[in-house]
Amino acid sequence: MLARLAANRLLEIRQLFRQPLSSRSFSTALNYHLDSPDNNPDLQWEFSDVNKEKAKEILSHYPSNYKQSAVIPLLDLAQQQHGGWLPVSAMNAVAKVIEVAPIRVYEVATFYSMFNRSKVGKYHLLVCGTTPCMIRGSREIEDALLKHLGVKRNEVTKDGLFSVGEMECMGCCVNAPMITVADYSNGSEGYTYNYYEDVTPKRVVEIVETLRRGEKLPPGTQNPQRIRCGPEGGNTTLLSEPKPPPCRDLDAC
Amino acid sequence: MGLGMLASRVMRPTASKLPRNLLSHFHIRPIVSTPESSAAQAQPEPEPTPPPRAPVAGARVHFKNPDDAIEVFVDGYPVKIPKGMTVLQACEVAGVDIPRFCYHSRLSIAGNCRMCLVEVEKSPKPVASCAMPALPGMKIKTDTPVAKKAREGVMEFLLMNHPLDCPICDQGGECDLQDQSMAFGSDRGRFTEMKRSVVDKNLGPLVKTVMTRCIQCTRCVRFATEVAGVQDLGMLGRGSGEEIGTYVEKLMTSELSGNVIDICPVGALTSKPFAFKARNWELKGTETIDVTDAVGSNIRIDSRGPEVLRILPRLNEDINEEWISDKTRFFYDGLKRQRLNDPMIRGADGRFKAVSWRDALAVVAEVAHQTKPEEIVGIAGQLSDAESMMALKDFLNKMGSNNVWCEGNGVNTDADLRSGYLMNSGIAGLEKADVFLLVGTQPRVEAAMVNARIQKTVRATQAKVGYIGPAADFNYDHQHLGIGPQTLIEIAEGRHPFCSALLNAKNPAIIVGAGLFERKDKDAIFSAVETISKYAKVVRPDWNGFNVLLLNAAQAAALDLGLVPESGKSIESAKFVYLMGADDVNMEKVPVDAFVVYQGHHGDRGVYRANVILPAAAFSEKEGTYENTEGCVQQTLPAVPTVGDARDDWKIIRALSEVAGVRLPYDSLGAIRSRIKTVAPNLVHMDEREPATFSASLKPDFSHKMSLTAFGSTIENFYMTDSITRASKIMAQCSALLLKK
Amino acid sequence: MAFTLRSVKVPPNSASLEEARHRVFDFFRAACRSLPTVMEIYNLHDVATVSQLRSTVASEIRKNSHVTNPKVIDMLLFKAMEELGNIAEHAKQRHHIIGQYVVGRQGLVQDVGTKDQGISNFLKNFYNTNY
Repeated sequence: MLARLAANRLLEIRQLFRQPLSSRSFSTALNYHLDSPDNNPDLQWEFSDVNKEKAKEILSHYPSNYKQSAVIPLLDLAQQQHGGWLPVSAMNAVAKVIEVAPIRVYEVATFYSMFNRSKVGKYHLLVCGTTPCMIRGSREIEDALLKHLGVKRNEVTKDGLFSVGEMECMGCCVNAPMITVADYSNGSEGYTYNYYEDVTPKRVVEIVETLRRGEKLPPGTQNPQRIRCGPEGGNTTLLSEPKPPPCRDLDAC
Repeated sequence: MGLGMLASRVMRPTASKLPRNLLSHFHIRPIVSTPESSAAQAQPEPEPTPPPRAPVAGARVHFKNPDDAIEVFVDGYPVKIPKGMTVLQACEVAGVDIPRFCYHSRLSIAGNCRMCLVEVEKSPKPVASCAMPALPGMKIKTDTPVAKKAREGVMEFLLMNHPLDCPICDQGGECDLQDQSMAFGSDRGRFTEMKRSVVDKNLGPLVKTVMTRCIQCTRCVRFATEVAGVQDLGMLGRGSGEEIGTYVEKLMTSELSGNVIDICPVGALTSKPFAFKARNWELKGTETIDVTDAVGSNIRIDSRGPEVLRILPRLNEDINEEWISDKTRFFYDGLKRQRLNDPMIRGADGRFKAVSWRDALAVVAEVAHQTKPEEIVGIAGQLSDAESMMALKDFLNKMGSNNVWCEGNGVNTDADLRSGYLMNSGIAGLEKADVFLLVGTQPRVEAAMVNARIQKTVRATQAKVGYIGPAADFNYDHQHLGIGPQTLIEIAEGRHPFCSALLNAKNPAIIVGAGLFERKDKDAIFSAVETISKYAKVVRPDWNGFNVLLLNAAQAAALDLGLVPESGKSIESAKFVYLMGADDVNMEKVPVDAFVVYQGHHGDRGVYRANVILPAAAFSEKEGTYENTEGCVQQTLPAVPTVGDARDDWKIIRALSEVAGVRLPYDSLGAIRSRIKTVAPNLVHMDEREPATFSASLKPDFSHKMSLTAFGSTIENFYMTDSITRASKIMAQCSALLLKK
Repeated sequence: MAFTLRSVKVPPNSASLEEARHRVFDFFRAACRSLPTVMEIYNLHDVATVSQLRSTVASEIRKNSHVTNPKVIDMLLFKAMEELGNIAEHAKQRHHIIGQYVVGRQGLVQDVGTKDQGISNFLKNFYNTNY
């Protein structure tokens, strides 16, 4: 009797944990680096000539004795240049540019989930997983994406085009649910980071297919009946001219 | 930390039941009502002011400027503190120990553990006292319900992900988290989820990691960055996934890495060699000093029975602060290996045979008598204490020889001027310097604690460091000026760009390595250094920046006692060589037919050539006086009994002198110290620095030609410098890693 | 302990040196008689012979040959009887007997006494121990 109870309880506990383990993970899970052929400190990595200029420009924003302040923009630049992710040699290169120990760069790169430390697709699709989007069905959208692409989360499709990740709130709650498409297909010059809002499971598949064909599609709300974040089918309130703010009648006194 | 005391105060709030503390003026108070509430009661008589409490851990208030004093109220008691102190420090001065994990007085303030929350009047929330500067008139309350609840809450969060493995944790018994959760924590938690677990990191053969126990105080990260000067450790990840690590597979390549074991408030970083060996409350602590280098770091030897189990640092602000080098901390296993147990005589077949002391001494005395006095040579080893060196010198002098010296001091050392071989500015004094010139010395391997001081100074004041010597690893910014005497001459003649830095410096410090003692052109080098110190005003009445960094624990005392050889060539013609723990003597110079006596504790290099072995006590087993490189005299105390049939060094020589018929007139340590007093009175003043009276004009000008051979590196392997460290397995592992790198 | 005390009665003091002398011989005889039993119960056959032990007893007695005060002799005799009783009652263990009566009271160091003439207390102590 007791044993069965215990076994049941164990099963419950296990089930409780199966879900978080599978669904909750950061963009790149490990907090430490494992050498692999395409990601090890011995690989040479350098900013391209164009990006070197950009890096210089970024550094000029900061006082010369606070070069380390440029760590985030430079990591971002490196990530764009390297197809959406940061190998350890890229972080070392950034450390050299801002003249700090590499570990200080690793700390920053591991802190922010927007820095990917393992390979992503050319189009990195980020599904918002925060409460308003989740209530409006972001889980279904993610499922639709994963099913359509036939990958798991943070996995790259075989053709290297797509990967799906999760993000925290990106501030589009009014048009929830939303996804973001980070487009690394054209390097740092053609890099875009677009929000697609009011998506449905059907619509995200269409978006994916449009991207696969290499076409551009306008970002923003995908609901044709909405203009930006306005209500569906036009305004229903605040139709009249806004009243002027009440002023004190200066002549009265 | 005094937390046990604090814990007892919290757990037993009634003052009357508590036994009187050792300090009679230390009073334990129950919760105090605030002045406001007592005023509200409108008592006719003013509340009698209770006697002030003693500051925590002897915290002292040092007012740089009397105008800077501000007054704050801690639990209603006024305290005067200098401006800029934090609330936590103010509480310490007031005698209230605030619980803390991330705050460490020698590291920068992080403020991320939140354990030090206190209530401050007119502040809406509890404030983290470690990061909050105390402001004039601030009313700090440390034992109000708000503060207590805040601590309890923080503690619950800290314990949320902390494993309940205290029974198998090496930190058990000296764990800050354990103590403070007893004192301030709740008796139950509300966390029912799974605890997180973290992958253990490989930090090398010295530090064992159990990263699941980590509470993210970042003390180790700050220590590595600020004190050790190696930026390897970092805080990776975020939120509950946060962990300490190096990100890439990397060992902590610092000679101070062992100190993270001490500063880790939990059992995340523990000593690998000490793992599962003992509990800290079973150990007997002996406060002694370290002899592996010339710094004389203050240490505590923890032993159980006849075995040294670990070595911890002791606080000494003037020498090692509260750090020690890895060599000091981990060489102790060498004390158990390769030991010489019995007196031994080499037989005709070349093998050693154990004999009784009586026979061994008789043989040695017999041979000594048959040798001509000028062919007798005595060499003291680098671990010798002053008493035994005194006895050795007296014994050899009585035998008619004056060929006695200490290894590492070279053959024609000038022992007349103490300032010529001491670190005149003192180790703590280096912090005042703003330009360093290192001549033929690599402090990082020669004296890690001195290097830590220089690193601290460079980090705090951006002091310039110029270095002349072979390419070396520094953990702070430095200019490599050159590799040999050529550069030194250039600086002496004022032709080098570094000269302007020296001239503009307020307190320039020149550090000369004792490795140069062995060079033939030593006098020329020293006179060049003298020239530099003259024009750069290194030696002034208020500042003496001329420093010699010695290598061995015995060197300074040996020179003070006048262990200087009569002639440089005596070893080539020696027929009777008495090695008192000397292992680094070039034995090839000794004639084949010479009779070599090795008195020492380890079967090391000296033993290979020895004819007679006399087993002696190691520094952990005897009482002995050592003088460190800055001239500070300190004492070792016996922590464990001697091994086998070994005897104290000075006793062996005293006994031998009697057998040889030239009985030395002292039978006890006290007697031998009064003999030392007649030779070098400074050696009997413990823990005092006798400043060297400097008189540069006394020194004759040397016109020797300087040879232009580059300075060599004196210590090839930081981890293996003497017979004990060479016998240590842990040091062998470390040096294997060092060589692999 | 009480058992031992009961079994050993304190005899009246010897009136003269002669009587004390007799008592010593009586004791020696008693000891010699008990030696075979002692050999048996402590299993000493492989380390000693009866004659060796007998000479040990004799030398132990001779150690005090300079004593002339009958009262002191009585006292020593009493102690000897007590010791003999302890041994015969198997109150000791084999290594006690070997240590005290076979190898000798000085342990394995056989050469004491003669060489230490004229050396200082320091050296004497040095040969014994470091402390």
